[in-house]
Amino acid sequence: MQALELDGDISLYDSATSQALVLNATASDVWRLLDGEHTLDEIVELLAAAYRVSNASIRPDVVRIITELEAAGLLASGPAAA
Amino acid sequence: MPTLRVSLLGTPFALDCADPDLAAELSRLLATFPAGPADPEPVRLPVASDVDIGVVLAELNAAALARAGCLAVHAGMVAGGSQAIAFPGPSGTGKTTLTVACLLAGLDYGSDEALCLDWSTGAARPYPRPLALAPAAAELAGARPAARPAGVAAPPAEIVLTVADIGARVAAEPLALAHVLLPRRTDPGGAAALHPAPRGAAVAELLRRSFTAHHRPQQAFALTHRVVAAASTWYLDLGHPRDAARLLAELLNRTG
Repeated sequence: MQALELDGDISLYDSATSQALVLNATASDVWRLLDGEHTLDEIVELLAAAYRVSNASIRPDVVRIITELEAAGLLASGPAAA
Repeated sequence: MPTLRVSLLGTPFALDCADPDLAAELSRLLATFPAGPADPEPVRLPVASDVDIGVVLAELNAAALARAGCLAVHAGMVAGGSQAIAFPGPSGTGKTTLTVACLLAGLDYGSDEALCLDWSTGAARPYPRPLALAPAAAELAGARPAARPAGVAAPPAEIVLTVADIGARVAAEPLALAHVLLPRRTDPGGAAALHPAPRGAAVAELLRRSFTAHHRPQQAFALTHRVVAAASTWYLDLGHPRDAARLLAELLNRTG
């Protein structure tokens, strides 16, 4: 699985399935933080601070994005909860 | 039995035709793919006497794309000077109709089937196969088909045209991909329009529509990004194909 960035958006390509996925700005930010170093809570907190919104308002989007990446086979496993 | 030798996307083919009239018509339709003097052993395709030309051309196309020595993407391509526009999409989305309309608007023919990118340089190469479209689509595009020789079976639902039939010319290399258009089919009575599209969407669509990315997946991903990074990307509301063709011509006039 390969990732490249273009105009701030990250594209993912799974050569095994020939599936290409282009992440929007928020999903790209989530992807950058899925580096094995951040828990889910930390990702939510970092993005909430960056976007100047509450943790509660952004958490559903973050969870959804991670779930979709896992469902697409582009993420082996999500971050630890906390 | 006449044998027609052609070369498509780097693969030599020998069409063993049972019918001389069919061989002559295929030779006319495939005049843009002359065989090279030093071609290696060709892929042989038998052509029966009662076969539809459309079937032969489809088989030849599939064989050529499967063996293509380039990153081939299911897309139409037209050009103005050395600048090319590609519009990827699956079958039935109007690529051929739009391509024909563009040729009639004065643009040069790249392909109605495949955008072919050199693996090393990313340069676009023409794949000027014969254009096959339904009579209604031909009328929509403004094309008038050439008379078919007597005795040559024709697919009743399809008209096959060459670049010469339309009075257009094949795009000359070298070609750089200047624009990628992501077509959105709309009512033919609606207005054709261009809207900026995210480059990422163009990358995803080119990879999704690729015939040969699986040959070199890592290189295909990198090459697609490199080529799109240097291009402008747009959504194209198709509207009437002739209106869309005018937009494409204007786009190339701006960047040519």
